[in-house]
Amino acid sequence: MILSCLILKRMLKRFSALNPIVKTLYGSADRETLRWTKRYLAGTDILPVPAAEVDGKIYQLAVFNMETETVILLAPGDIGQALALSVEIYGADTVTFAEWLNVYKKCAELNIDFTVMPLPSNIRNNLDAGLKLFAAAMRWNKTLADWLEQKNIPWKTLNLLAEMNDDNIGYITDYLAKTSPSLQSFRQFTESVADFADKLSGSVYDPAVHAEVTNRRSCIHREIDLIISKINSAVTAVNKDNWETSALHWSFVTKNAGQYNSILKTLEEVFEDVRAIYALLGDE
Amino acid sequence: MIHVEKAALDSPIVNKLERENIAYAVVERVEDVPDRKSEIVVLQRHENYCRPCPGTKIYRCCGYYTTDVMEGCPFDCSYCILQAYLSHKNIRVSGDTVSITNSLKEIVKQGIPRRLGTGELSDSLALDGIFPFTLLLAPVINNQDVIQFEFKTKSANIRNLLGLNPKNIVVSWSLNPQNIITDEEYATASLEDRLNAAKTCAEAGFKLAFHFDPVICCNGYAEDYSALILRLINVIPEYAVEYVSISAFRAPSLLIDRMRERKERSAILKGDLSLGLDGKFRYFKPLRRDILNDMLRLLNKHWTGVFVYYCMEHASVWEKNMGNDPGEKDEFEKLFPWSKKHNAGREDAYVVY
Repeated sequence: MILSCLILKRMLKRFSALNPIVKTLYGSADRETLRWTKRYLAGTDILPVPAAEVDGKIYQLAVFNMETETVILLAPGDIGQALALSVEIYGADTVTFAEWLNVYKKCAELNIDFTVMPLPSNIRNNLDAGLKLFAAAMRWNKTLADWLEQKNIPWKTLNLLAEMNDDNIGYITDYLAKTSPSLQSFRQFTESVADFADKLSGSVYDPAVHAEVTNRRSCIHREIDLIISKINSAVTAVNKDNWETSALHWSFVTKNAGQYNSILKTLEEVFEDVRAIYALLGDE
Repeated sequence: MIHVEKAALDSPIVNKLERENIAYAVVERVEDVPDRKSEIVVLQRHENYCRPCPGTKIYRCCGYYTTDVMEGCPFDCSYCILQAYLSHKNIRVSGDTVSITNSLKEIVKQGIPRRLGTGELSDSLALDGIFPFTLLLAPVINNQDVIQFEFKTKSANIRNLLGLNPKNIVVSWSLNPQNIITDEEYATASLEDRLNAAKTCAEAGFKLAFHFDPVICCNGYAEDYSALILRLINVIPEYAVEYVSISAFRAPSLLIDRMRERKERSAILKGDLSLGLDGKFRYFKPLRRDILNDMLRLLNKHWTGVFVYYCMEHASVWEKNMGNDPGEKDEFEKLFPWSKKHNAGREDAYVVY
């Protein structure tokens, strides 16, 4: 209750120029025309919901899943300002990419200039790239769009997607469908598709083919990887700084003297492999 | 388009624009200028223009000083660090020539032999036809005995230089095989144009330097760099060469992001890059150690008296390829011919390996 009062007070102060009044409606406000988010707005389940009156019609500006007859009625000049107001009520800096995409779609539907929205600096300062991204995202398929809606994807990754052709987008969609990746894996995968776009063809993702085509490792690096994988069984050898130094960190676990003795034998057996690694590193 | 900040209207740089009828627009502040590479702004800033070149202790760095008279470059190399380092895309030229020359004089006052240059935050010669810093700086440089000044370029724009006394000046070129120049160094001079310009400078009495930086490991790179070195040796006389640097590509992660944002995707992004000890991506160490070694051997075979060094490379690569660790900045700097010449006879000035 305290929170809702604070929000009400802040809202009335912030939007005082728009003549806010608390009003009970005959019927309910239009909840669909400006619905751009599914988010719950803290405190407004108790508050009268903010709404805007434009050309005699009343549009709900927040808490779109809740029907109400009592609203705080604001009076923006037009539907574009009403949408901008709605975004501002939630806080433009808190709006996710998927939500901005919804705002962009609403602007297209309602013939609103997207640039009048309260865009955060990362979009405002790179407006051309931002507009290109939203235009591209309008064409993305449902699988990709749904996934992006669930995750908070970094803008740099989204910008890479915006530059991709339909085949690449299809390829990424197929990867999503086949692997259910983490956000980190998705980001790295998108970067690999962007970097090797000229070598990837079609929209069917095959893990083995992808690994081979996008392998950045030089022959000598692959050779070292191979030896390390051969060594790493009972004991593990790890270089912790991407081979900028030659330090190998060895680890193993023993639970009795017999196991210890077995590890000693293993360490002896891998001596030639270790020598081969240091020869490849040039430190032999 | 050239813009001039109101405060810089009386600067010699702007007077020169007036004399030559070069059009410009006056702006209140640099922030009023669109942030595009095609926009040049002359500013008036009173600051120290000479600073130590940034480096890390982990990767060996020489004692070079930068003289940042310009921020931003008309060229558009895919790998350019300025994309990550500068907060603006437009080119900012300092009109405060008094502060620039005073900064140089402050360095001279220290009495320590120093190498400096303008090629860190811009190309030294690309815009020299419009903003002739060579003409401005040469008299100051040549009037001092402890500084050697380097103009570093990827252009062939040497017209102003040719009328100057070459005394304390080194003119240097960044070199890469022509296929890399074509694919990665947009709007720069061709390899042959760079080499011909260097040869002309050598004939005019200038000392030269060459920077194989960044060495890029793309398809067929070993053969391409060998051919490049042989071409260099064929065109340029050894006596004119003061030093040569070789350095593999390295980049902070922000630069990698910037490179990915570019319309033309760089082949560098397909390389075997891993995070180094200083937080920058570098080629896998054995890979770069081998190409740096091959290039060093080939250069040493033909140019036996030229000082060759690695820029920002790990001590272990130096030890493996060169047989020594150059040490940190001050020690490293003493290996350069300029320092050796000036420190001759001073027992404390030598590093013994």
